[in-house]
Amino acid sequence: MKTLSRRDFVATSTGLTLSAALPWRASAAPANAKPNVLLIICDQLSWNAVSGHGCRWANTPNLDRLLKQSVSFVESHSTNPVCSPARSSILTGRMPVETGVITNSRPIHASVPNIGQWLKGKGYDTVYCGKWHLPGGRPHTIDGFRVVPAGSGQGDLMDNSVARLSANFIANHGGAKPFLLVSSLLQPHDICYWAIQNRDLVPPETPFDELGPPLPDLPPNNTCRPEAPEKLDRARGPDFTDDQWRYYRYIYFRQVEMLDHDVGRILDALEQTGKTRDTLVIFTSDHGEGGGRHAHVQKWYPYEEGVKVPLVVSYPGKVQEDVLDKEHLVSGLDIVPTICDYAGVDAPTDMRGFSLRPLLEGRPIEWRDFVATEHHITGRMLRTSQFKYVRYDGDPVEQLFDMQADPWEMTNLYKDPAYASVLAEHRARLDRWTATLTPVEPTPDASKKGRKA
Amino acid sequence: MAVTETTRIDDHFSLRPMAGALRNLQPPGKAPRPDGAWSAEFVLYTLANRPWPTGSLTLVRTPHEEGAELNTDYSLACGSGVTFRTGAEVLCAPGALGTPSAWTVATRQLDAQGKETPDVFGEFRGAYDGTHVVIKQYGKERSVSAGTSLAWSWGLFDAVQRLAVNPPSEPLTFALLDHFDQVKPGHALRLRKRCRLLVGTEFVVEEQAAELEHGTVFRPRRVERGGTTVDCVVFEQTGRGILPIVYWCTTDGRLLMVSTGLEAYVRKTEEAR
Repeated sequence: MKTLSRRDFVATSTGLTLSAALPWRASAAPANAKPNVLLIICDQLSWNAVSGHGCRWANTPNLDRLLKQSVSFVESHSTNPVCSPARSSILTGRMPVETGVITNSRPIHASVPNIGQWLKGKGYDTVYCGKWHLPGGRPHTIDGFRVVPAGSGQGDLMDNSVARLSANFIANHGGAKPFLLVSSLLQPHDICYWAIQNRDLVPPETPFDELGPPLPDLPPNNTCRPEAPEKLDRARGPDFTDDQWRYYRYIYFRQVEMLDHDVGRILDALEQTGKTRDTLVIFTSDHGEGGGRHAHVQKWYPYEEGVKVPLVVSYPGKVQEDVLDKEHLVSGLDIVPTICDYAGVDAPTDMRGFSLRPLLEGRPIEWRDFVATEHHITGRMLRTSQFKYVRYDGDPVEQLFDMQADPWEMTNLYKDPAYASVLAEHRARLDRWTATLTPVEPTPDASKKGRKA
Repeated sequence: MAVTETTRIDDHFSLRPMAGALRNLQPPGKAPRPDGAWSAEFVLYTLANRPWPTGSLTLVRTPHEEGAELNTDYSLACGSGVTFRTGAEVLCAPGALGTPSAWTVATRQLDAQGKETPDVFGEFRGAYDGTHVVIKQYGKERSVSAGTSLAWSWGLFDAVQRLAVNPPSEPLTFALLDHFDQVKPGHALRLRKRCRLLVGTEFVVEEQAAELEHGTVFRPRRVERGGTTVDCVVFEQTGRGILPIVYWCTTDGRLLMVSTGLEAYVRKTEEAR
């Protein structure tokens, strides 16, 4: 039996061939070169599930570190609180009705370029690692991107390999071309699978009795179900007891922490190879998570928990640092125009979003006064600085919330005569916005392939 | 703590989601000495709608005068024959938790022909000095405060085997070294219970009589038959950045399975070395 001291072990690897001269490529980009772009997309992360955004129930030191270097938008909205449609907007700058991805598991319409296709011909190495879902979960080919296949399964089985391979790619990347790397992490999405697998694991008393005291509080709107259109009302969560909700929330926040450490791995690679200053980093999520608000789990609704997502942008020396922007309404639509702006290329035509660059750099600009979200094919939401308006075609029930007086969306004002003019104004705005869009035929739903009609 | 309770796989929340992977689990033979030299292979399952094999973990333990060396080979299927591999050599200090004191790690991706993808290869070293973890990666060093007690993810697979023979009366608290480079504080490993686990059962369909208003009808019913009991020690781990983990060991120190609710490890083979 060999004897090995700790000193020996650190100094020499016994079996693994750890390079004497490490090959990592430090940044050598000239100051005015096009930046690298790192787009980190996570899945089902609510805006306020990050400790740096005030969450008391999760510890996210790596995301908090990114926030310190970034502008983070409080009023950031998903274009659709469902994975595939939201992702189609993040990657194209178009609304889901314009990408053809109106529900899960559909491809982006061939007429709409994704950011990989757009930048590949403009001097970028374009690489995709992680969840795709447009339509395949983990395809090995994606138009416009070289794919680094990663992961197989839920949670850590996906994200650790995505983070590690992304980090290794960043560290090894050299040559004249900048990179566009999309690192698409799965967590904390898999609270969905945890809940399915462990439906019986949520007994009236939690199975881990030692967890009692630190279990998260319930949100104030946990039992509140304001009048809602039928499709929205149907998407209700399970009939949990208070303790079951608290346990569900505990599990969700642990999954947020799992995500945080995988983001940390990617950020470490940027920092330790000196590429941070040459890299535009954008961190966002496709949609949020119910977490017991309005008695909801998962997504599928345009309440704040479903549509408010992080949108965090860092580019040291170019973008302001440690800024929490509470004022501007922004959207996943703004990501492609922002990337193109910093990359010094024109954005594709018919962008529905705007470059965030003036906001990121603290320059005065007249900004949009609403954002829109689609949902469940016929559902639409319009959010202005004070109000949220929701309607579903053919459903007589609408929703109107005063987001300043009622941030937990507990009182539906659509029948209140005092708000009749506000309601009318928001209906008209939504109509005008809808008229500006150019919908395409919905693309085929891959999940229904082979099924009988 | 005496063994008093017999548990079926479907009875326990941590085993129920992985029941499909445990149907053929047979009572194991005598375990290798958990503090000796051994190797073990686990099949890794993802628990989506049902358990689905997605990789493997092999651990090779070699004791020596400074504790033990525990080498790992983690292989994850990425579709179409592509695999993600993590190989590590870890020097573990003596003690219940097998605290890592120094480690080297290589991560790589291999295509279906076994060829490595060059630009996503990575390697790093780490060390723990009793309060801090230092990671040497990408030509630089990074130091992270880790407190005075540290354990590592797959190192706990080794630790619980030794603890199963002599379970601690109090929870063991520590920071977790996650995948060799991230520190997650605030962890505890607790003995939950001893129990007698029924394994190796078969399901048969029997007809069951039911008296109805108009006479007797016979309905098919799925019934579990046979099987053998294994005396088990069950540990639970909770803490920051993980889902609660449940470890099932035999009382003589063999880890049978591990579940988090999203992923599971089931022992495939083991041998003394």
